[in-house]
Amino acid sequence: MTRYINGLVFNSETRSFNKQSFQVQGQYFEPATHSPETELDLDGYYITPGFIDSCSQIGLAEIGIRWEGDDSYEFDSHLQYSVVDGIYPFDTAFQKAVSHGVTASHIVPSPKSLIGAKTAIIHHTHTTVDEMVISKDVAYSFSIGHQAKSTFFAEKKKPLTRMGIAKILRETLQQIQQQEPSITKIVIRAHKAVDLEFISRLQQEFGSIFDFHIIHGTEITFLHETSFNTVIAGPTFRYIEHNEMMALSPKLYHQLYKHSIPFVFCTDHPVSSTSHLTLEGCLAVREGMARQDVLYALTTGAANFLGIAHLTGAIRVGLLADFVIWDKHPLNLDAQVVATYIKGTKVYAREEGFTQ
Amino acid sequence: MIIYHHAKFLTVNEQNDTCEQLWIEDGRIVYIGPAKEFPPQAELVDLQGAYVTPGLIDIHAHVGTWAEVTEDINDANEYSEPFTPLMHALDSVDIRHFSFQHALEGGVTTVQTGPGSANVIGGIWSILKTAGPTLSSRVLVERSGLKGALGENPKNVFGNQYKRKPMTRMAIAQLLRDGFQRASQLNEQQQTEQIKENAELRPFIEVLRGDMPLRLHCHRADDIMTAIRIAKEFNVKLHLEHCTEGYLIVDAVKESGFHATLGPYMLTPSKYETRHSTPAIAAVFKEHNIPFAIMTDHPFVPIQYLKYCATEAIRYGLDEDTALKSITINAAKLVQLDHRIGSLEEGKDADFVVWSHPIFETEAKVLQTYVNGQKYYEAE
Repeated sequence: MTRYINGLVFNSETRSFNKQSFQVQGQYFEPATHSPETELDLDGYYITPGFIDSCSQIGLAEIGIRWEGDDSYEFDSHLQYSVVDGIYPFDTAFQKAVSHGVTASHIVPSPKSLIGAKTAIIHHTHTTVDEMVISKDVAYSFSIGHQAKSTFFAEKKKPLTRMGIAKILRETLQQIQQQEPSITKIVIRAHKAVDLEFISRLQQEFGSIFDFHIIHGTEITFLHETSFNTVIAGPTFRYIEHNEMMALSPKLYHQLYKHSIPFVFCTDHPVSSTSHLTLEGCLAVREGMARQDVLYALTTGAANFLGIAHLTGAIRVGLLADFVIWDKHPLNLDAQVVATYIKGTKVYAREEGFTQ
Repeated sequence: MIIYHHAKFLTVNEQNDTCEQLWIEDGRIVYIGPAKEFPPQAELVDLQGAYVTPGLIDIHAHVGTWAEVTEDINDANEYSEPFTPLMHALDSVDIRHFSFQHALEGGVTTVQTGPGSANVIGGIWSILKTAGPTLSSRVLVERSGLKGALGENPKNVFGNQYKRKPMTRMAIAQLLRDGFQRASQLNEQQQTEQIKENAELRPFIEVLRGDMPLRLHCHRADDIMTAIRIAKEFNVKLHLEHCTEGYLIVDAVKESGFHATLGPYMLTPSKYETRHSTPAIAAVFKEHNIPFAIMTDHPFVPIQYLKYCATEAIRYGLDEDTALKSITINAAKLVQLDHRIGSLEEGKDADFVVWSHPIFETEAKVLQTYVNGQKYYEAE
């Protein structure tokens, strides 16, 4: 057992940093019952739960390489497709993630295909995907609007309309209901207000079976409606890829926050980089969101949304010891990760041998 | 005359002074310094305790010429040929393009823009202010460099996709040398004619004469060295664009005496030649005293996030002072415009940004952006 003392620890209940100690035994945070084998003095450091990226293609679309490492998109769809079968544990992006305090990601396939795949949540460590998986078949993913239309046109040389997208999506939802009855969460990539309205209609039609969640939500502020399931917002630090994203701006976070629409952060790595998840939070702070609420959304909020709050997302006895030590407040733009732990094991240290 | 006061003015001059008053007349700074008595007819503007920096400068971007990252709305790469020395930024820039508005929103008041990196020889770059009623009113330098590219981009576009030369780095180097060889074989009179007629070899002659630098896109270490080798062969001034693996061969880059614009390291490495990209390069170059600026490469990192490219370098060990200079005065020096822009000093253009907090704080928002003394952006 190791006891970590004197650090400023983020408390997910009060959403504040308090000077306190915590213990890790094996993979878990443990109560302070026994005397620890080692003690680590974290005086002057900030400690947060590991950050969770709520939409990422890490491992699925390898960085530093083109098609050879890209398993984020398939031509034809199949309900059995699962991101678990496409994740490469040696993608160097995983090292990048942990060096920026991001310990887990919800893996969602590329926006290119209308019908995506079953999603999964993974830890950013280990050498086999089976060890990495925290939870699989978490949701089924879709992508509507420009991306779906242009991919369809590139392949079939004929246009696909929003009417066509709606038909395919409804049919697929019925198939999911029959073939994958355990999946009740549907995540849909969409930018334009018209597509977000369509998702609201789906929620009314299929609300007894599925919960629909918007990914991106660029034009959500154009809508009068303010009642949404948790939105996977952004990323806003990214290039404007097509016309539907012209309204993209960190002001998105201000609007969601102001209207109390629940949301979580993402990078959609490699669209933005997994290393910029904190930057999304910083941009939300710039737009007026309280630092403590940003930190909550990056940790416990994301874990709640993804249904893994009983496993990780907070520094609490009984949970997996996924935590990060920072040299200053993690939402300072120049904050550095000193060390990152996943399931109690140190997976990154800024300086070799950071133990004292 | 307009006098801005009640703010912390960060001059970014040699002494890095913090001043209390900024006097502007006819678009220029006439006084910056401690509070002093001012003429009664002057108009006073209270900046309510805000923080003021010089307008930010990005000397490698495609503002005004490249919209969304899709190729169908791209006026930056003339794909018809791999060798297009007559392409000129000013023939492609649209001053109504939204990227100028985004630049102002991010506090960027000057950009160097122009052809992309698909071609071995892409064309001529220009340096522009990001606001002003006409294109000509925005131009600071009409011909600021001959842009070329080494490595994967020409290989991919021409070799891989179009199945034509160049497929290899050998052919890229040969095409690059070709322009300089032909230009240097001309006599004085033939060269003058080429320039007068705006003929194909004009840009090479201008580079050979030192009127503008050669600007080469190079990511991989071998491409950086090829760029340096060719520049030395023809004794021309080279500016290294990207220089991504430069930290792996930092002594060789230092020895070359050439300077670099670093980035876009905020972009996830999307191809092989950028796989070693890291924001740590800025601190390494600083440590070795290699002059550099930091880029967005808009649209890849949108121009409004130039500041965040500098802060990421701080996260990776660069000092704040150098980080700010790399997007202001040092960028200006690298394009020989430090007599006009890059710091708040008397006689310089009144390009400045009003921030809600000190520039590198998380909470810092751009409240107002001024170009030539005129307010072109104000936050809602």
